[in-house]
Amino acid sequence: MKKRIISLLIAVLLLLTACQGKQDYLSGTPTGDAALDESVEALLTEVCEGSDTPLLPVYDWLLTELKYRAAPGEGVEEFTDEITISLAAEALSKRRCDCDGEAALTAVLLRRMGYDAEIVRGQFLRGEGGEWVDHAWVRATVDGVVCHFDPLYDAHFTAGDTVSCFMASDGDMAATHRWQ
Amino acid sequence: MKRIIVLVLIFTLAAALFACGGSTKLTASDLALQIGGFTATPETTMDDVRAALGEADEYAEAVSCVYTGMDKTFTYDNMIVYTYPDGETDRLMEIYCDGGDAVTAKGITFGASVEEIEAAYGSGYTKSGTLLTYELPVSAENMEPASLYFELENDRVTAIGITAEHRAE
Repeated sequence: MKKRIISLLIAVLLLLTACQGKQDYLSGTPTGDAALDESVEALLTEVCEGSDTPLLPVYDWLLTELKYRAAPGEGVEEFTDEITISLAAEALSKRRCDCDGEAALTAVLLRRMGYDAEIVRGQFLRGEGGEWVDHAWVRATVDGVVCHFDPLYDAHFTAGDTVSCFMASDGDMAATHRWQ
Repeated sequence: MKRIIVLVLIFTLAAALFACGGSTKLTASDLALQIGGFTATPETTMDDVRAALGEADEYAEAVSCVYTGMDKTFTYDNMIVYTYPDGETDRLMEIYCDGGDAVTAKGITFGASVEEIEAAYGSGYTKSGTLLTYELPVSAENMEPASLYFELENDRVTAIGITAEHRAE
């Protein structure tokens, strides 16, 4: 009897440990697209494994792995679930996308990690005294705080190895971006 | 003494051969892609494309998120050409083919396996997502490299692309 109880306790402990590991970065909702969800889970597992701050390696991955390429045809009018899934899947598979694709993939990754994330349509300022350019990025709630993620901007416009649009507050973001 | 010199020579030669093993030094002409009798390389310009293939079936442009000016896409049958603005000039960024008779300078075409690609171009590629990419060295730090890439599905080539060396920002 004693042996059975100990075995049961060990099994429960193992189960809890396994669940705990997953909760760190896979506690959110999948998109419902089986192929994309599988790729997203594989990517998050690869990138976040062993990290205490999984948002950072995910952002770093988006910064370094995605290459900019304009999308042929008309731009996205509205980020419906279907369009977001399609753009995210293409960006993840082909590693090439414009700001719409990068925002869609960022949103899908953050949602899968358990954060409320929405794609923001707005503009960013290209260079000091430069022009405002139509753009898309992501605003999410992390630990109760609303913040912005724009890996495409950081990849191309932030100097050196620094980032300015990783978990940026509304105030910090407003220096280079504007949105409704 | 003679024996030591011979051993050192053998070791050096073996080390050099080991370092070179599996990778092939690629040049821009290795990255060429033949499409409908037209040969595109990372040095091809949009004027070259127009002269060989005529006007595109579809054309789209939008203010670039990265470069100052308009990103332009020219869609042909089975092929998309991407350009980016560089001052007054539209520079070729990428040619992407997902059908037709496209074949690379080393004979790789649709349906080729990863083994066939490796036999032709060596193992000096990077694999990310569904892409297997060979890159040339960049001429400056702020440039994206010229490259030849293969899009794979079930380890078979379903699309082929070349990118020209272009500014990263």
